[in-house]
Amino acid sequence: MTEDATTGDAPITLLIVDDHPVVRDGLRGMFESAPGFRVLGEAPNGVEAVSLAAGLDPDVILMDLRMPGGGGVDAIRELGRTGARAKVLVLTTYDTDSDTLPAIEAGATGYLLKDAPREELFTAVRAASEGRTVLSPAVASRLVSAVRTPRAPGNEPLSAREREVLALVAKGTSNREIARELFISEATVKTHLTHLYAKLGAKDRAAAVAVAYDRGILG
Amino acid sequence: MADVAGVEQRWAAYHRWGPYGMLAAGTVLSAATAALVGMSTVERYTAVALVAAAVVLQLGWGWWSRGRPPAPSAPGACYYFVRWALGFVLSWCNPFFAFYGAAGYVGAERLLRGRALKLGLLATAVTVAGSQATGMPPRGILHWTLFGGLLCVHIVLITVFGRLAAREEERTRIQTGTIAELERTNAALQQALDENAALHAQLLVQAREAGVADERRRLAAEIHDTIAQGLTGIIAQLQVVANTPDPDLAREHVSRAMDLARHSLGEARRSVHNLAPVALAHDGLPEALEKTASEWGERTGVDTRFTVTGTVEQLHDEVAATLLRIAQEALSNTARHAHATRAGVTLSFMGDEVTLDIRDDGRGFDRTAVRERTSTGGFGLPGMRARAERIAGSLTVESEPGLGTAVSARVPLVRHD
Repeated sequence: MTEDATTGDAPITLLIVDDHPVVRDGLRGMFESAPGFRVLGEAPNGVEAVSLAAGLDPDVILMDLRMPGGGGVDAIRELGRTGARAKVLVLTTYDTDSDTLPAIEAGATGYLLKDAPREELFTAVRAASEGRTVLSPAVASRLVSAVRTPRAPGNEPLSAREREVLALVAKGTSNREIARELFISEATVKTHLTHLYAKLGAKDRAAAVAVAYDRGILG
Repeated sequence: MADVAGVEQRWAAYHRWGPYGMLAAGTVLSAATAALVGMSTVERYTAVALVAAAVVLQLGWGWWSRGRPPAPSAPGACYYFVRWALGFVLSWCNPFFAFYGAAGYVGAERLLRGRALKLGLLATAVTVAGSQATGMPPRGILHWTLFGGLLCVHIVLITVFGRLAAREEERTRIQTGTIAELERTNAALQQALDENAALHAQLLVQAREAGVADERRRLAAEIHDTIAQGLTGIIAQLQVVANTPDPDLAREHVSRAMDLARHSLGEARRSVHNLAPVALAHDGLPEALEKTASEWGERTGVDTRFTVTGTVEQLHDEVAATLLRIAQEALSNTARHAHATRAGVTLSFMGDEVTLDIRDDGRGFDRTAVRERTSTGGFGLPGMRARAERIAGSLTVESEPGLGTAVSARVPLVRHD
């Protein structure tokens, strides 16, 4: 259903929900000045948003959370209940957990800060319309700025837990048994192994154990 | 108190019916021994008449005293001495009537007081001692001596028992008084407690109001220092824009206004400092998780262990809050569905990522079955997954019926700034 948007044949349709006319006006102006978006309507509160969404069937709804006459979280829940097709992007002034988590739990695709730069907003709306996850802006910016270069292999010492895992691997213990032994998930055992391999410059269990014996980490 | 009332009731019944029994005993024994004692015809007729008179007296007294409190009174004294007189004359006729005469010993303090009481008891002692000294009147020196001795014994016994009874009564009175005093004290204590609770509530309200007032002052100061200043600056910049024909100059000032607005908004956000959940307000994530796990373990009785591995780093608020919420949600699922005896919360720092594992040894579940049963996938898992994905992480759930459940969140390590 989002094919049109991704191929660019049809614009992404939007519904803007905010109690401040100035904010609605600003957002409308921003999206209408950009290609690939079309604003179908505006609503000043959650209740009107739900009834408008039923008639207009937008791809994406930009939703404020705190509005007199019907808040955003209730509206998101109601949209989910009525099976609306639209993805909801929450627009909030504060990136506080208390505001946004209930919205995410109610079914919002993600949230953005109201003062997000235009491009970030456009990217998020496109991602939402395609059903992709919209990252938390606070974390996303830091993830992007964080340089995640692979470290030079073999230099970092193993953590105590990694040595524990490696000792079990050396005994021929399966991931599943290691998980049971350490009372953690198999997924985390695999993550430990990934890090182990990187640190030891090994590509599988046998190699990791061999390197560990060579370096005197085991035995 | 109930005990005292019960005893009192039994005594009332005894005072009411006792004399009848004693009269009956005396009459039966006297009739049986009339010949043996050698009662004359006159004595026999007298006895019959007096027994009838005694019955009438008892009935009359019973009728009069019904519903009146058992306290000494003139009619009571009258009843006592008439009864005594009947008992005395009957005992004169046949000593076995002393059973009736002895009725004067019991409950005398309910009918008489002061000197009348002593006189009454003495008179009763004369009747009983006289009868015991083989009948009245005493004949000859031996009888008189015996009578005198017995009378002395009776008087001593009356005195001793009277003292004991008085002491017992005093004790009962004190006991009753103590109980009443205790009840009063209890009531006073309860009242004091109520007042204390009211005061405490009032104090809380005042403290809260004081807190609210402080917070308002703080916010007002913050708004003045940050937002109001920022807005002033923005207006100044925009005024330039409104009055200049030069588009380059206008663009420059709009850009400045925009920067100022962003800066002010950032300041405002810092003022509204409810970024972190309460549990993270004072502790780092490991401490908050440890507390959450141990509190949960205490509440549910499940043996719960928290483990942190790797080099602990201060996480970004949002990452910490997300992981804490996932842990809380997973533990709450375990409490509701797992029937576990053991649970483990493990936070693993691994250089550029962090994993959080919540594992239990409960009954587990069939994941495909759960998905079919509820449209949302059940157990709030989509909510947890959405949270993890929001911070570029992932969430996996491993479970099999009978083999426990492990929820694992894996997120990039974003450091606190």
